[in-house]
Amino acid sequence: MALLEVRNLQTYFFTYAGVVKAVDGVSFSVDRGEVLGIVGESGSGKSVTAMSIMRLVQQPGKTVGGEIIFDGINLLNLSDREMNAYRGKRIAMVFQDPMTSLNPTLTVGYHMMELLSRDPNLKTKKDKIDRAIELLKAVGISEPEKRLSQYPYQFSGGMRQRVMIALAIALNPDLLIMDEPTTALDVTVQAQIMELVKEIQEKYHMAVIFITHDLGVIAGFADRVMVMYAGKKVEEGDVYSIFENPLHPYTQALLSAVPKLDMDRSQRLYAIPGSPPNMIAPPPGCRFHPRCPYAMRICAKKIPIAAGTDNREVYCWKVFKEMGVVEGV
Amino acid sequence: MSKNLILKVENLKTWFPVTGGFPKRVIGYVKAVDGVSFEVYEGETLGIVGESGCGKTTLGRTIVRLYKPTDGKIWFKGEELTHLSDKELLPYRRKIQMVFQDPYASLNPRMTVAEIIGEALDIHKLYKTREERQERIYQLLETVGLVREHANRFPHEFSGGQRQRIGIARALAVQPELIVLDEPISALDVSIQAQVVNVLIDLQEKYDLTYLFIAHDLSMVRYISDRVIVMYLGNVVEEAPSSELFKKPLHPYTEALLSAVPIPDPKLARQRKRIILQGEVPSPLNPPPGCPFSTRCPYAKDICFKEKPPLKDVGGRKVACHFPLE
Ligand SMILES: Nc1ncnc2c1ncn2[C@@H]1O[C@H](COP(=O)(O)OP(=O)(O)OP(=O)(O)O)[C@@H](O)[C@H]1O
Ligand SMILES: Nc1ncnc2c1ncn2[C@@H]1O[C@H](COP(=O)(O)OP(=O)(O)O)[C@@H](O)[C@H]1O
Ligand code: SF4
Ligand code: SF4
Ligand SMILES: [Mg+2]
Ligand SMILES: [Mg+2]
Repeated sequence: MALLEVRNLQTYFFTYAGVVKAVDGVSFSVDRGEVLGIVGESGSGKSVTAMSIMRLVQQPGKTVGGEIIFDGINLLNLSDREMNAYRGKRIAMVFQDPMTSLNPTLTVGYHMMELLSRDPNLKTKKDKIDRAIELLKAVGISEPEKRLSQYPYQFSGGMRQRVMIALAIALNPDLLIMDEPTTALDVTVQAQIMELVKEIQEKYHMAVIFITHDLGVIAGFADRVMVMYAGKKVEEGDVYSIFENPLHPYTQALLSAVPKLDMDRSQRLYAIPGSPPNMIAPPPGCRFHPRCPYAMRICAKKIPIAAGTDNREVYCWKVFKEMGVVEGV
Repeated sequence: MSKNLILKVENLKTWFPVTGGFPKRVIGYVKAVDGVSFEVYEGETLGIVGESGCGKTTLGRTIVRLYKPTDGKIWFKGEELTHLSDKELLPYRRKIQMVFQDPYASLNPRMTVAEIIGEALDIHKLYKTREERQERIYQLLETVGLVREHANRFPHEFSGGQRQRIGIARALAVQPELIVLDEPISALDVSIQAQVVNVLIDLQEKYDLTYLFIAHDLSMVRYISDRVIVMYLGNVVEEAPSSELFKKPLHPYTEALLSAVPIPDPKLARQRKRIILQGEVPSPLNPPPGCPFSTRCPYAKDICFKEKPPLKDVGGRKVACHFPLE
């Protein structure tokens, strides 16, 4: 059985302007020790998916439907207290902007000690300090003894993100969710952090959900990739097939848009035409149809059903015509 | 490409004083730009790359004179700008424009798009009648790929990519010759970066513009720039034609930057050996003695910690390293 199984998740925001169906019937699963990449452009519902799993969606948002089965338990049925016991301990999350999750008035050491007080194996204060130092070392922070008494603002962006990772892995979670953990960082620091996460993931055999808008970032890291567009999953497959043979027109467009070091300077850059949909009144049928070069009449009328092969799932009428329906989806 | 010099920067320094103690006094300087020299030719794009905090924005803001340089000289078409009074500077302020890093923060949320663009026209009195002014605004919107109907909307009604186009239209309004583009696409999704870059390239051809393109995405810099300078801790460490720099970096820092660029190919990405730099970028308040890169350089030797390597010519390129890569 998969470690995490998300079924038909629906998380909506009830705003004055109307209902934003930020995540609208998304299903996927993550196995133990597996890295799932979630890709899509800004506003496609990646963060809301992650926040839904953590049960951290705030007003006016609400998860209105679906199931989130983690290790056999539907998280949506847990009381707030029960859910608190899962958060950090069994499922941990690293956010895009580390400053939002670190309290600027508390030292890094305080943040770590507070979290480590939930570890029953650490009985004395010294146990906890030792473990905090060990964790900071593990994420590559030099002189960790000194660093514990410093405040978050005294750390650079890259170091803060390392602290967040140290906090996230502190209680050995089974699932680590990372929402654009490197988007705000420089390429060299991004490379450092990706190496670090890969090392930790392999060492502890953790399951990881890695969210990004840049397909290029996860090519070397993810086992499987799920592509989202306008609140829906449009394609899912193993990382090699997604990159070598993207089937959904949106995945193809996203891949063509990734900047590459060997782009031909005499050629115009490929740009996805049009703009992302208005999420209060998304296009009917396939939500990508106003921007899709292959759109057919049915695309504007009917929501595509799953097509593809057993380890590939694509929601597109064109692919459906060419490959037929997937069994068991 | 013509070979007319449009901008020349010589030993430019922009330092920010740091105060502290009691009574308050200056206890040090953030040497954000610390002795930078380069030349830009008409119609070309000079890329400026480097990690955050290395001084790219400060350099750009000093060139458009939002900051006063601490030392050094700036020539624009032969005129030395650093000694000019604010009044004498006005015509140059028009010719050198800047597009800012954050499309969300750089537009006044209480002004409509027409007001934002019109303000630039007003400052430099670039129209005779109200109708002409209005017509200019419409034209500018269309030039950057927006439509007339957008004129009376507010910035929050636009996506990031559209906002960046508004910023570009505002810069274009005053018919500049040189535009400093400070990370114009960094805050945008990859899916819309290409749109903005295509608009920039079209405009450059149409109006014969010169660009200073500041970025940390090396793929885009390589694509758009004719020449590139690499900055580290307030210094230029390498300068080269774009094609050569990316084929064969001479400075160890450039090599590390290149090796950190993600490769969008699962097989290649897993095979490649990356140079993972150790440690953090040192504080510009307290730069290391000797080579600024010495604290992270995998090739550093004794001399690197003592003597700062000057930027030297090597076969049409420039590099500041005691041991340039072969
Ligand atoms: N608090 C909120 N109130 C109203 N709508 C919201 C709220 N948070 C998110 N949304 C909407 O939900 C949709 C998905 O948002 P989400 O943040 O998940 O996207 P994302 O793909 O992670 O984007 P980004 O890359 O910009 O973070 C968007 O249309 C967004 O505007
Ligand atoms: N107004 C300011 N006052 C003090 N320090 C500043 C100011 N602006 C920039 N700095 C400092 O100067 C250095 C270079 O900054 P900046 O040019 O913005 O970097 P970049 O654009 O390359 O990210 C940084 O250390 C930054 O904190
Ligand atoms: S369903 Fe139709 S519009 Fe949607 S991606 Fe497929 S071909 Fe394009
Ligand atoms: S001078 Fe020395 S420390 Fe600096 S980049 Fe060259 S080899 Fe490295
Ligand atoms: Mg997000
Ligand atoms: Mg900057």
